Amino acid sequence: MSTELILLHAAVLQDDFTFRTCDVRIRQGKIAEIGSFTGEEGLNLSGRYLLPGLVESHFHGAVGEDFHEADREGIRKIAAYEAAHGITTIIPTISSSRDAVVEYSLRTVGEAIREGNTGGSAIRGIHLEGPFLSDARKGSHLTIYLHRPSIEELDRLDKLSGGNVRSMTIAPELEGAMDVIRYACSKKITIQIGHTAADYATTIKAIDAGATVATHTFNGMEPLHHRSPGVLGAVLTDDRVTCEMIGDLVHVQGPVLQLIYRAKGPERVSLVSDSMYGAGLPEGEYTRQGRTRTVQGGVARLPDGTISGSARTILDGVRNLVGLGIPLEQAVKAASYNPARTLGLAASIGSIAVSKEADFVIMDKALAVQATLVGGCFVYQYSDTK
Amino acid sequence: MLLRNARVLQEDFVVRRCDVRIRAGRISEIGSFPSEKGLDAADYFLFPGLVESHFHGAVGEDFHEADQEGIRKIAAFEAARGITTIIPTLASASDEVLGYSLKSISRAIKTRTAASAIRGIHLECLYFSPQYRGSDFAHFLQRPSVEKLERFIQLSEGHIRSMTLAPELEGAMDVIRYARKRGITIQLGHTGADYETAMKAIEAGAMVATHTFNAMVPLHHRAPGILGAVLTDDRVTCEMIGDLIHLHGAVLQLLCRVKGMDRVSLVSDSMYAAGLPEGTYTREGRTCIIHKGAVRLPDGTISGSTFTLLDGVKNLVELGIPVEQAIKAASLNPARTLGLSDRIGSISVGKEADFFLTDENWRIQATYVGGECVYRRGTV
Repeated sequence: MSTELILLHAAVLQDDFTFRTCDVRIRQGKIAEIGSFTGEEGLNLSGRYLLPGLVESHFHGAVGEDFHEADREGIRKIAAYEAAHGITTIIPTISSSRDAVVEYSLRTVGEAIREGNTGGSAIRGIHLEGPFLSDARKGSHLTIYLHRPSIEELDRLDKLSGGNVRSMTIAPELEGAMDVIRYACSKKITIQIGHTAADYATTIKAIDAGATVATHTFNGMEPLHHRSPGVLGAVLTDDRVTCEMIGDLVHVQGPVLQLIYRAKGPERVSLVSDSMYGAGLPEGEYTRQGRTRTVQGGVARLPDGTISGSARTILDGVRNLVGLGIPLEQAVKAASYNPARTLGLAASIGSIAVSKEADFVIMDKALAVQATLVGGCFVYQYSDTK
Repeated sequence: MLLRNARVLQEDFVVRRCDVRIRAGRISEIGSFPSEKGLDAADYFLFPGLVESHFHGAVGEDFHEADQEGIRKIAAFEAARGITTIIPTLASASDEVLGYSLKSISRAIKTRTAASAIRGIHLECLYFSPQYRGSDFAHFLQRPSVEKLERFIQLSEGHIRSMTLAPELEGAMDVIRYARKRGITIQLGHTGADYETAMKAIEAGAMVATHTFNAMVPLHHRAPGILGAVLTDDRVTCEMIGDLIHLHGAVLQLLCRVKGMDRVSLVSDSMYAAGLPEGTYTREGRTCIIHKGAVRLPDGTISGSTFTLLDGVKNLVELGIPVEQAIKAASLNPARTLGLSDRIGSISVGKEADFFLTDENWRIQATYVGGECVYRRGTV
């Protein structure tokens, strides 16, 4: 790549998440300077938004590829699909599954991370959604693959991935969970509370032990009751916790997204898609790994009706939040800076700030993606002829 | 009268040390009058009088049955707790009982003999969902009717200030619109309404959610229902029973976060046993068991509280809500939803001199209504 690139005249969503028209200099893949470079030559982005690249911290696949089965080529396909939706960082999420499947996928994704360039979004870690989950709130996870929390097992999984586990969803009420939470936090693995039947007091203990994220808030949790507020009462009111929101308007309806946003404020919500391999495929019935799912209206369901992931991206989530009246600046923050922060990556990505990675999405004013850059390189450009 | 040097919770709900002048029952001046003589209040906070917009009785008296003396007893009990405005609330009962109590309360309003000022009546008795009736009797359920409401307005001599109803009942929207025209605040409660119906009611003019979360269909993330509507619509103020029994503390915090401190109103929903010893009581043919502050029917259903609004304020403060905001939730906010905030609800020039003096430990020194002392510590 050329060592320097200048982006001129865009409406730049700056580090304080307000828009200002200015110029951005990129050098060696990083943001070198933000200001006004009159007279210099560069790419004219007048009339466009320059936004921080989106960070997808919870998703399982897309375009027919599932991280459980995907080979390197499959991973590249997913990364290209995400890049085309403005997503510059992806955290592949591995669910509970057969040991052989989990081992294969941790190794394959780990190798893809070591290799680096995917040609699309950068992979910056792995999210383990399991296997330490509650049977009572397992959603579409299978009981036989759920385990008792164990530090040894977490260590084994992390080693398989080459030390790339960034975050883990755990049910804190399980025996041994608090030890795993403390251990994971000491290893800088972000602990997410989810697929859980925990009560309020147990959840607060988990937060005290270091948990900082609620996984797909409201989904895979006991409902909120006013006299037994449970996990929701805790994560919605404790500022140490950031709440994931699946922004597809199906997993959680619009008024409940607004409720989460009001309860948590713009700093403590993270958009995720929880997408599965059906994202980017035509709707219909699919069978994979011995399980049949119907993808319809942007959501996947098992034959018994259980929701099993979405077929959307977090770009849809951003647009949906804007449709609900949330300012674009805050909707983008919920899909960039906030997940970057909970993942411990905010020093290098998540906002447009000097010395951070030059990860951007360029959109028109209708929020259509024009181009995506990762580390200063174009990984997607819209073309009319496509 | 001049009150000097108190820590005054001013109109912007910030505490500042200043002097307050009262003339002809109203707050006439707020400022610094160092050369004038007055009542030294330097040891006290001066807070706006609390506004109890939803409660059914206290000290053994229930508004369904209370005579003039009973109403005075309730008002004196409330005044001793910093409550300067009360809105007696009528739960469901027979037409005969309701007729008696409407007349009795409107007479008390006219004669103005009660310590706390009675500034209206809250009807929580006519149009509720049988499924979410709480402790109300199902056989009192009625179809919403403009004629019936008008008859009640007549019986009360125009003193009905607010009304709780379930908006999903047939005819409810007409009653909402009619009540709004008559200046009555519409509260949504005892309801299983879905989100769309609740939004329609809000469009029609409903502006309060009655004891939010209690006697409502629960919130579900794919069927947000009435809670999804009232929690996210800024036109609605949410009542919260602050006794830490009806609602867990985390849910009170959630309400404050979601609505903001301008859109929550504390209520007690207290019943006649507030101020009585705990035990088992039977009234109007029903038995209530009072234990650890909670009121339950023999089947376990919660049936009101034995707390007061002041306890709710203290509880919010314990939960970490700033005292200024906790007071606002029990004064200006209910005054506003009741349409009374031009006269009461804050320490502002021109408003009624309704306030109370308290030390830092919530030992109330005195309560004033319209500039008159209606309670003083050490007296009953």
